[in-house]
Amino acid sequence: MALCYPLMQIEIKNAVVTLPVSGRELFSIEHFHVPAGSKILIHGASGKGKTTLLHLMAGLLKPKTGSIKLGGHMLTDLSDDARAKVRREHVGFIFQKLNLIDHLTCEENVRLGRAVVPKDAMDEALRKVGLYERRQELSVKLSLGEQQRVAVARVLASHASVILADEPTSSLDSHNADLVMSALLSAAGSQSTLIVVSHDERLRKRFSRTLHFEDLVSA
Amino acid sequence: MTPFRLALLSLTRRKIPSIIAIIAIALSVASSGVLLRMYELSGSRFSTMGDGGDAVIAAKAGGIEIVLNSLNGEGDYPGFLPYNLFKSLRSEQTVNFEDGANSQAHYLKLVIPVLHFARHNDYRVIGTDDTFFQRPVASQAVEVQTGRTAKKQGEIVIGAQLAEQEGLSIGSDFNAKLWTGDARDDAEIPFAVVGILKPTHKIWDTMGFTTVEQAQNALAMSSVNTIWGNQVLSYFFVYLKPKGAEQLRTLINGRTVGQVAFVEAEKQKLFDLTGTGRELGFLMAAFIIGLGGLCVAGMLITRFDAMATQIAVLRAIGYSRAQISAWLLLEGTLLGAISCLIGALLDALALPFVRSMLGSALPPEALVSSSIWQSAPVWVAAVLSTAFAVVVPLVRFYRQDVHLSLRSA
Repeated sequence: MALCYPLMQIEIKNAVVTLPVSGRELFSIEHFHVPAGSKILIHGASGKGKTTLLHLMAGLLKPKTGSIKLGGHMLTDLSDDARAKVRREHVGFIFQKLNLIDHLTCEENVRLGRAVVPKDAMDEALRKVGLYERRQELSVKLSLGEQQRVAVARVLASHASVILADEPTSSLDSHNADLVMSALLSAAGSQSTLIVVSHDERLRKRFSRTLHFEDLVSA
Repeated sequence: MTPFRLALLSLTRRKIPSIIAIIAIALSVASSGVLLRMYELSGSRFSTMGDGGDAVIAAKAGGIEIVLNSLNGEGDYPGFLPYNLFKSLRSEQTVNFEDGANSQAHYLKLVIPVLHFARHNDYRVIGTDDTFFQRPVASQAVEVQTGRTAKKQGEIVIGAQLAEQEGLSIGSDFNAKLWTGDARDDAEIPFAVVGILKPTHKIWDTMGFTTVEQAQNALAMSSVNTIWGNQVLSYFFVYLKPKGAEQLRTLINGRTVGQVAFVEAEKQKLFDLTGTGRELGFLMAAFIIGLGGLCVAGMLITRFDAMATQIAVLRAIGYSRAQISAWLLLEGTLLGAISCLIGALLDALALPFVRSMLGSALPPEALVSSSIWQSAPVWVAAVLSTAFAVVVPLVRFYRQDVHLSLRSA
């Protein structure tokens, strides 16, 4: 059955991002537009602000000035909890590590993605990442690669319109990195917007569009 | 996933820290509950103590012991006083002594005879006369609610609580066992209930009352052997005329086998003796529950600090502050509620044991019962303190910068 969920573009305009304590400007973005359904890899050296850019797009932090639009939602105008609601309904997040709640099982972690996750959707997501047989195991017992795949399953089961992945393969060996990226691209399908930030050069071949972080921002 | 399920899973999956926290709080709840109930029990002496006029005359003994035994039904079988002494005092006759001295007790308003002689399931049965029910002080009245007082052989009037607990009414059979403090005296004495007293909320509610004559007849059949035969009494309750106290003391303490205990003075002594312990016990109860609360606060702070990154992940995937706050609060409350349940169970099991260890330091169980519900304030305090213990992690969570937490993970 084909899944239907809203296509969402991302648009950042005149955003100035500052460091939280010193207030020093970290970077600014004049205009960055991600069309709905696109798959983009943003690469660059560590410590330049790739994670901050991803968090900006998810509404985890607000720029000092400027606007960020996710689908029809102007994130910069929304309250903290309203932005959380947008993430809950439309965004899937994958981190480099510590993606999961370690005292929950694989399937319970997958259920965290939405208020209600149908069992069929959860089972299908876990099958796609090859962890259906281990769905009852506590996530703390899984390897890092397997934990990343559970995080992908969580995104898959939640039918996210936008998938944001922060260094999803940086801690993995080539085999696990391939498995996770395949699962991630499969989760995104043709409809979801997928943005991956990484300094992992192995990922370039998986994306038709890659951007260099330094080209996007002005420091 | 709902906050309740998150809280439940967090508690059940992290078994060892959860069990340690539950044991710590349960022990605090049980200790505080036992201390609180002991505080209440200790205080109940003063609220349930019967009225015995201005003074109680008994066989030679300590004043507090006399008052507790005669007016609160505590302690062993009392000693005897000669019935003739009672008769002389009541009739205000001149009492002549062997050394030629004499005394006329014209300072007495009323003397009530009391003879302990039987028990019914630990409730005492005494012999007395109608003056017991016709006190000169209205606030100390012991009145018959239904029926009448005992007049003849085999008749008894009983206290309201005794009637209710034993399901007795007018005409019911009431079997008591002879009680003289000697194990050989266990003959059964049959009575019929002829009256039930109005509730006094005093020890009288748990006693049976018959005539002095019946009580003395029962003693005649026992192993009791006194120089006065069965013509004895256990106590005289005395109502004095103004300024009669010193004369009574001089007469009874100096020239008879009896001892006067002035009720208010002895009650005050008892209050002074036990007061410090009671207050200390109450403070200890508050201290222990406070300590338990702090332990939980420490445990929850450590628990949730360790989860700071995971909480940030939940925020990143869309959990609202309200949902995560509800999770933390529910986890604290569940921890408190489970601990209270176990603590209350331990409290219920421990108190009878503590009471038996303390012996006469507390009123006997048959006379003053202690309900587990008296510990309810401790449970409320424990649940509130565990819920309050979540406040620190909650404040930290509200101040958490999700972006920074995820970046530094």
